[in-house]
Amino acid sequence: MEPKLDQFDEDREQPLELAALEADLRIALRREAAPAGFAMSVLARRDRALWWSFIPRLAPALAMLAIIVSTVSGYREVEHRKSQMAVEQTRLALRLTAEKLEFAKTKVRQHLLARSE
Amino acid sequence: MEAVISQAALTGAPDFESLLAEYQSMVFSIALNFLRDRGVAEELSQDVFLTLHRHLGSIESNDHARHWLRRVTTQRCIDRTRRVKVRGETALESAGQLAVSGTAPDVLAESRLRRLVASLPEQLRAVVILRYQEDLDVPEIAATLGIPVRTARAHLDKALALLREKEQRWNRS
Repeated sequence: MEPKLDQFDEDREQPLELAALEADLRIALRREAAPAGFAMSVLARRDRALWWSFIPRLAPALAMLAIIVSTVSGYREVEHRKSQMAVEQTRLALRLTAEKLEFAKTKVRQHLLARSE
Repeated sequence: MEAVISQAALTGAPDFESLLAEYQSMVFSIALNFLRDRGVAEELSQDVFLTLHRHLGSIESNDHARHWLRRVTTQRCIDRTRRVKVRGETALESAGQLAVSGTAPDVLAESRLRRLVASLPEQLRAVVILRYQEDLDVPEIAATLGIPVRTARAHLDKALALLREKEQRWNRS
């Protein structure tokens, strides 16, 4: 059976239409340049992200440092108080010794006075 | 004199700034042709490059980077279109009515065709952009989208049929 002329023409035209459409698509969808400053914006955002990414990593180290500092300062406080107490005890001992010495002197003077009479 | 060899030269891995300079046009154009909104396309493109930077250690070569960028950009465009109704996206039926007066016919035709492409369903749109913007063949398109070659071929045929139908309708009007 002979193909209808219209159908034959239509079938022959389809590849041409398709080729034309594909050519139009390549032109319409061609690449265009990124906006001005695009690369600089990306790099700036990258650098900000890098900076902020350090903070979570530093947090444990900072926490440990805080613990160490507080421990050291607490230790120093305790040692300072101990030394102050030691000084106070030494002063007390010296005072007691002085008082006892004075008492002993008084007794000796009294004894000597009694003997001379 | 000792030769100074960079880490990139030693490993063959590309550096970020070079990739950004070489592929910013490609990534932006994929996003723009997909989304038809310059602001959204620019934002999405920047996000793609920042993601690339985070994954730079896994990029083995320039070719790998190009494939990765095409794949991620296309997938992000598809995801965004599915999540959000992007301003400027038109239905296939109404895309032909848009026109700008005082503009050359060729520019109008190009603009209309871009809008028609942007009105295609997401998967068909992706296939058309990868085929006619990036000049990928069907197996490469399939690899980029992670779909079977047969599916990519079917998508392309269907997209061209839809576009041709609309073009014919426009030409007859």
